[in-house]
Amino acid sequence: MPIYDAAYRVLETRPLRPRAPWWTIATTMMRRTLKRHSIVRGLIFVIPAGFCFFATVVFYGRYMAGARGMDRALPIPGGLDKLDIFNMLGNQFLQAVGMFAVIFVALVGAPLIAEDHRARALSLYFSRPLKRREYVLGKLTAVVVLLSFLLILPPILMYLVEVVIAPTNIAMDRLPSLLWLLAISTAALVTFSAASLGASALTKRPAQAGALLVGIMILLPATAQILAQQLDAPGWLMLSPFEAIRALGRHHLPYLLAFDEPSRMSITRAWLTFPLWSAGCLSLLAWRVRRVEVVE
Amino acid sequence: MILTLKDVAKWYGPVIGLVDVSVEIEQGVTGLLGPNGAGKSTFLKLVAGQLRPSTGEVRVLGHDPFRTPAVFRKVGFSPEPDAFYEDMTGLGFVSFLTRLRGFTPSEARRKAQEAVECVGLTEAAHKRIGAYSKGMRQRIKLAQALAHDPEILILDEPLTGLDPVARRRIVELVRELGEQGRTILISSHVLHEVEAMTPRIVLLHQGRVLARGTIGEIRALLDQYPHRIVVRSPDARELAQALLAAPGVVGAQLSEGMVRIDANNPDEVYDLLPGLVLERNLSVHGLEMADASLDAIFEYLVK
Repeated sequence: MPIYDAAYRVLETRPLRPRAPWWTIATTMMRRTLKRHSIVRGLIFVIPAGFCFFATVVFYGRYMAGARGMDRALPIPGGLDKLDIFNMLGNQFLQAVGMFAVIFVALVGAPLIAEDHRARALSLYFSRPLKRREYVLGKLTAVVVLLSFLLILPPILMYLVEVVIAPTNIAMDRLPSLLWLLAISTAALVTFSAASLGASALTKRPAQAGALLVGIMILLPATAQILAQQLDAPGWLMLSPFEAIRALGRHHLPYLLAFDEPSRMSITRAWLTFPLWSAGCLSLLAWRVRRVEVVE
Repeated sequence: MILTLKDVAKWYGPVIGLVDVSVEIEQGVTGLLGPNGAGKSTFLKLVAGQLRPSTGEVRVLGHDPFRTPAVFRKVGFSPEPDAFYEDMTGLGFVSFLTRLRGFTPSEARRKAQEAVECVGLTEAAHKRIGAYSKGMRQRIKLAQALAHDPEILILDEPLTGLDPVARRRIVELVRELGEQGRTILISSHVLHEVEAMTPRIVLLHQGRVLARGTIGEIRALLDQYPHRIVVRSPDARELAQALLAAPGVVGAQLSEGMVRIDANNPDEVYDLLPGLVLERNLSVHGLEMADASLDAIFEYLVK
């Protein structure tokens, strides 16, 4: 019986705490998700690549005067020099990616804890030297890393495309815009990930958790708009992370050809929306997981 | 003491799981017995840190298992219901769970391979768990509990669904681990399975501990029930007449080729029998205690 001698002594000499068990959970969950969901694989590879293509061909190619490889630029009222293509595209990205992100986390994040309830895998996790917060951190990391392909990678690619294609060196000019865009994306990334796990902890059915998340994410912005308008209290807009994303995009990434109405949400409130949402969802999650007893 | 429950009760809302249980479990194999709904799984889950006691105190190696996950470095738990990610392979699943104990990926894989081999599942190790039979699932659950070579093993109905060969293998493995000084707590409602692994048992019924000790000790405590000795003999009638005259023998029942003796002290009958056989020139083909089995003891206790 080989497993009951040398291996045991190895175990005894190890430190009491396992090394980063949350990372083991995160990597395993990521592998499983990518293996199981072709839609997730598709979104991860299509969104960054598609956005790059869109940026290169449609925007930079058409609007940037003297862009490499392009014969002519499209005339833009107000003058080409003043048109900040990166900021314009950044805003387009932030408005478009929100809904994709919700669908993505509904597929990836929402099942993660509900599935453990249903598969009774919690009994195995909780009979390991694993703290419950490490379990949550592992699951959260898995969603954050996968979602970053949607929210973090495209802005970086977009920046690189502009730097490569521009007729002059604009790397440093565009860097502040990139950093603002990444800051907004990161805040949204954590918020959506936390929301997905919060929804996941509320039910034992993965599909139900996904539907719950999408429902909340659709209903809350609409409710926020109605309440803010009817009560003339823009503070209600904090119920909607989408509105916060829009407000921050318009504020930190200004551009000339913005035709839509600026958001009524103040910048302070917009930035506060993300930590409040994340804290709320993570508290709910921690409360649910901490009191879990494996009864079945 | 390795595992201790002191005045423990567990309620699931209005439903009673365990009531007033105080037990100490020592090294070696201990069988946890009882019919369905007796509270065996609740008992094991309390010890395995899956449940918090409603009242009382559970200690594993001196720690509260619900609040001290570190204690599970030395504990392996195999739950009764299936608990899997069906899309993973058996080996991948055991490796993943072993890594959570703090092993590096390569160490965890090696240990998982050894554990999978130990439970006789090497050939199916790379198949998806979703395609596993009931017996294979049982064995993979056991493998994940064994892989890190635990000091304490908690096994909830581990033999359910196993074929006879696998069952024998697991029974031998449990016995061997017990002999090595591990503490093994194993539940079953099939009495002879437990009997094959250990004489030391805790009997549960309706959430309470009915009895604990070795099978012989528990049987000896049941004074109000005479011991039943079955003697197989072609001369059963004559044997019955002779034994009925002996002190301590309270009854005899004849049937085809055998006599069932009810005696308050079976040792007296055993002492008397050889002399009788020689003296009267009788034949005896077999002799057995009919109610020293767990089934019989259990039947007495729940009456």
